[in-house]
Amino acid sequence: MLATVRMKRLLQFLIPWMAITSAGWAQTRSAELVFTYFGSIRGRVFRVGNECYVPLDVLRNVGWQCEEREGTATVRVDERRARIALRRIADQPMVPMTELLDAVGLQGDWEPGTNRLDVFAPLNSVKYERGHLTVDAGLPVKSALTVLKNPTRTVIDVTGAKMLPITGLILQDGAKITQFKPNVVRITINGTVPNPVLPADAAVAKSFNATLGVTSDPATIVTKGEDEDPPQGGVPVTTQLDPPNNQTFIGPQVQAGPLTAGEDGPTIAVLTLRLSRALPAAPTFRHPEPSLLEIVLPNTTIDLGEGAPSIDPLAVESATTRMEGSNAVLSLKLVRPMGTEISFAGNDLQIKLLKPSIGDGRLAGKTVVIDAGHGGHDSGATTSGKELMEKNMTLAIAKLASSQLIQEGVTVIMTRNTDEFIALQERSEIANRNHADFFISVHINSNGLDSTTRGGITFFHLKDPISYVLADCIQSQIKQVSGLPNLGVWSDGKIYKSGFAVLRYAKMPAVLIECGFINNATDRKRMMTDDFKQNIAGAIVKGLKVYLGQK
Amino acid sequence: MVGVLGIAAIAAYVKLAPADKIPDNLRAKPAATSTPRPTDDGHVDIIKPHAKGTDITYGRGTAEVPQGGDKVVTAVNGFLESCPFVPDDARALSAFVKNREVVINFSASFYKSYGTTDEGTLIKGLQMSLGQFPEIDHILLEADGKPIDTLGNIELMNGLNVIRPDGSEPSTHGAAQP
Repeated sequence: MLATVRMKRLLQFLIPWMAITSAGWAQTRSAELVFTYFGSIRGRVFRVGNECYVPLDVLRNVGWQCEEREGTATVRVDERRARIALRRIADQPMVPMTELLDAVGLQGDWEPGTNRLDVFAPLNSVKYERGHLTVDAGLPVKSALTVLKNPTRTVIDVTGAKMLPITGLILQDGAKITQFKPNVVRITINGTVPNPVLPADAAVAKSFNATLGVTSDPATIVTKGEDEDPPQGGVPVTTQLDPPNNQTFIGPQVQAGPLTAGEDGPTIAVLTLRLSRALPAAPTFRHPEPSLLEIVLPNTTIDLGEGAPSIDPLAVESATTRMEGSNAVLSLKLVRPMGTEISFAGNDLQIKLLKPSIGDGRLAGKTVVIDAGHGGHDSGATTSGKELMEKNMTLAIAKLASSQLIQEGVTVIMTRNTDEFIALQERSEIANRNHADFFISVHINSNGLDSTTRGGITFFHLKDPISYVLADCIQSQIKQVSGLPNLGVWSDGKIYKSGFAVLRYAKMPAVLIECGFINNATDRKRMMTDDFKQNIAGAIVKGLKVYLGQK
Repeated sequence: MVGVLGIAAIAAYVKLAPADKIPDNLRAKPAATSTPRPTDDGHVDIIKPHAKGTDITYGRGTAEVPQGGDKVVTAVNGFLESCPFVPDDARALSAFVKNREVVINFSASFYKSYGTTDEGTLIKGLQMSLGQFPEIDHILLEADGKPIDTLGNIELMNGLNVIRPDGSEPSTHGAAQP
């Protein structure tokens, strides 16, 4: 009898714990890690939510240096180093892979609808000039050269690499580049090169140089022939933010159309544009206004079809087309600002509209962290006699922005209210700890090499499409009211490859505003006025409203 | 007593024996040297930044390494002289290379926050200045003997890769195949 009672009590105690444990296990799924040119990695890999957990040995096997101590791992990838808390899964200490990638300035993407995490080597730059090819990636890639006939061209496949909006491209002498497969970037040089071989050290390398020699054919980009490799299924192509180059194409034009709506959800809408065959060069896109997306299709004619095209009314208000020389421009008026990614799916162009999470679409009730750059012993940029200091100018603008946001019903958290020093990472952590909706850092620029440089820039982190949208919304307001030249929206990768610390650590849409140049007399004079400071503060408020879809 | 005599004997041997007779394990370790000897012709490349608006380009000149001077320090200080936004008294004081990594110690005045464009110019110029030395892949910055964490917006505690004259950065070494 006593034994039965004890058993009953034991079960009463254990059942809730068993339920909790099994619920935890239900969220843990086996996953696959596909790592650059290595391909699918052998080893136990798990997915929990949007995180991918991998054993340290997997990282060691791809050449990353890992040290484990007291529940944390120090992982070194080239010069980048990150300290990450380990989590015990399936009785094994595991590293949260996406958190680690983020910490070392890399990125992995979950393949939609699967439990497969793809880790790519970000392509920093590709240069082909006067017969010299230089490829530089963020991780080692595997490269191979092949000569194809009819027409003759030299093809260099860089396996494991991914092109990014910030990939620097200088391509001359008939060279072109495409994201040929999800993990292969293809560089094609039309015509015959005298020395069609890659050096031995290019087989697996983070960067390499090859002297191929100047092509014997004219430096025009030739439209792909019928025997050319077709675009592959589900192939991401460039998501360039820059306008297309003025390239000359010969050969028949690609026919584009119709445009149809596909998947639609709270975070993404997909449109598909039918193409008669492969484009001769990568398409590009631009946002003349935050809610206007223009996609430029090289050497293409476009017809969206009879009557109103079948497009998603929840994402796109209207679609129009026009020609710019031999290029077709598809112009989409979006219902609100969205991020953009374009990719190939077979012969079609997929346009992914990434919808920022806006909650109820109202600014009131949101939490915004305003970060006045520098402070305390850290003066930031100064005038030569230190009459003006960046730390004081940023604090003045931050306080005004805070005041205007509070009037809109926003919860504002200032990283500093006084002249004090706050470390870079701590600024972002303040936003992370408070689950802020936005992080906005205010700065003043300086260019000591050229004091004629003027204007404002808003930065976003590397290739983050959502922070790009926020930066675009704010900068589009600043340019209207600042009275200074508009230098546009920049990735922080343009200044340094791993970007700015405050943007890298922030886990929400985050931007860094450089209001103007302190060492330019005209900018400086303007920035010292109360008008300017009020206007920048107002532009931050309006930019947030535009981001949230308020008309 | 025997031990003391033994040690004394070894000491006397090391002191009196010709250098080539001293076993390796008893030889004095050489003092930690700075960077390797100057290049054959005694010159280094000096990176010279130029700006047209926000478009920064980098030219190259040369400078002679002073007698007994350090080639890395010469290259870095030559670059700093082309950066009017760096305090006049900011200088590289020493450079120490070990395991393909150089630790450069600057004077205290170098360690400050710069405007974003200047910070980018400074960092890229240092990467390029040190990329000319094939024995260096990686850079750590110090001021007054203490690590430099940032010069504005960019984290520097983990250091920087060099940028080679062809624009490339060093490859990962020893990446194993799974």
